[in-house]
Amino acid sequence: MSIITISRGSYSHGREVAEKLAQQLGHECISREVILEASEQFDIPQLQLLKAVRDAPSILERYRFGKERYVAYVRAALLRHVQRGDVVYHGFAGHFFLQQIPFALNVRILAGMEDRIEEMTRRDGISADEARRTLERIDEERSKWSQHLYGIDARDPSLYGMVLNLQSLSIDDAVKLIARNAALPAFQSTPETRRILDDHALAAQVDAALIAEFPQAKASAKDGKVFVAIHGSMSQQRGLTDKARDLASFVEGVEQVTVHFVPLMTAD
Amino acid sequence: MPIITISRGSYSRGKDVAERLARELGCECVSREIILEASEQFNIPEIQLVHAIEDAPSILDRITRGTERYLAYVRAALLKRVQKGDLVYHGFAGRLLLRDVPSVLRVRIIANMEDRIQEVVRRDGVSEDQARERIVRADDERRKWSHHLYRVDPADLSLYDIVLQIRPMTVDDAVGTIKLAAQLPAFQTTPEVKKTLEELAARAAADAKA
Repeated sequence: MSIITISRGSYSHGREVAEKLAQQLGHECISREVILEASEQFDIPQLQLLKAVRDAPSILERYRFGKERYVAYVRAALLRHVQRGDVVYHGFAGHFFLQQIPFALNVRILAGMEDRIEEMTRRDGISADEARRTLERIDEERSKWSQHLYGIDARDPSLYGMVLNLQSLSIDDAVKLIARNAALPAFQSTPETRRILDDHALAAQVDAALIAEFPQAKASAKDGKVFVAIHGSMSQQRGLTDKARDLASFVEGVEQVTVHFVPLMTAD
Repeated sequence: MPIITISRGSYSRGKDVAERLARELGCECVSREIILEASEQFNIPEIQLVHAIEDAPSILDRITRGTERYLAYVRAALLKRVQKGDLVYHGFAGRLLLRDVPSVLRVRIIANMEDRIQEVVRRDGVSEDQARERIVRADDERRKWSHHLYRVDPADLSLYDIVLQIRPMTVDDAVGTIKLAAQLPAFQTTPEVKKTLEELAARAAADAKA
């Protein structure tokens, strides 16, 4: 099976590339659907989730772990969805969420600023000046967002298996080149890399289950066995450990939970 | 068939990609030879050209614009070479030297830091720390050089048509993808492109002699 993520700036024809590619490969093409799934699974309004993955956090939110929580839900929903395989994802932050999956083909599509402005004026009926200002603001927001949440820059080429420039390539050219790469053995799952995906997907579910109570909790998983690190004050060690274990155990697919308690005094 | 430039960080397997690509396309693979050709064509000591295009510009150079002059020789030699037929160029600054030639397929090959470090350790027999330092320094030199002369950062993705990362892709995979791209209409050396190329080559030769 294969998983392809298409990352792009707004108004950069990413959707067209993703849809044509999915059609050609016989893959499912998803974007916002993941937000809906996260909304249903975790009972959070779609708009809140959408804003969390799309907009840069405000100063206040940076202190409250507000957006991290919603991002954890979207990540969990995405990883669960892609476990079904053969999917093209062109929604927010696919290249971040699937960075650890060895066989995922992360593609970045670039369009020239002038072309993006033209696309925006055509689609939204605004002036070129306004389109330029809006696009610059969106790019800036996105860049801040990824810096804040992941400490990485979406322009960093090492995040991608391939980058394609639509200033010289047509949409069909881009689809052809991505389809060619998607068929390579390097981007097909093996039993081993499939297990890595399953482990990450399970850890993401556990992270999502814990995050409301334990904003800093981090889970890892291996074949159903889950390891969770949580932080808290020494006096609450027992209660918090039990609580984290209960929350994690409740997640479907978890067979065993080990909680590692990090006393706040020594936390870095 | 097109003119292809392969840009690469040091130790990023870009040379392997370029050589294999040229072999499979049955065209010439050009890198530092172009300096020798420039040296012969314009009667400039090769060593001066090498320094000019490989080292970050010195303060003195920034004032005298020496590097620009040497680059004009190399550019003229490269354009002359390109006129003879399609080729894969993976020497320094290919994308920049051929910047106004239409239909050039501009490729960048990247590798992740860990793989590059292993490559240096294997090739040069140094420690991992030394290897990392060497790579960071080389990248930095290149960035300065490129920024000084052309005001661009080679890591800027929008400068290329295609960027490919080695691993999980293999060198052969990358070659296959570039070959496919090379067949696209946008990158064909049409009669109009040839005409533009002739004009550019003539102008570059005149600039170099000026």
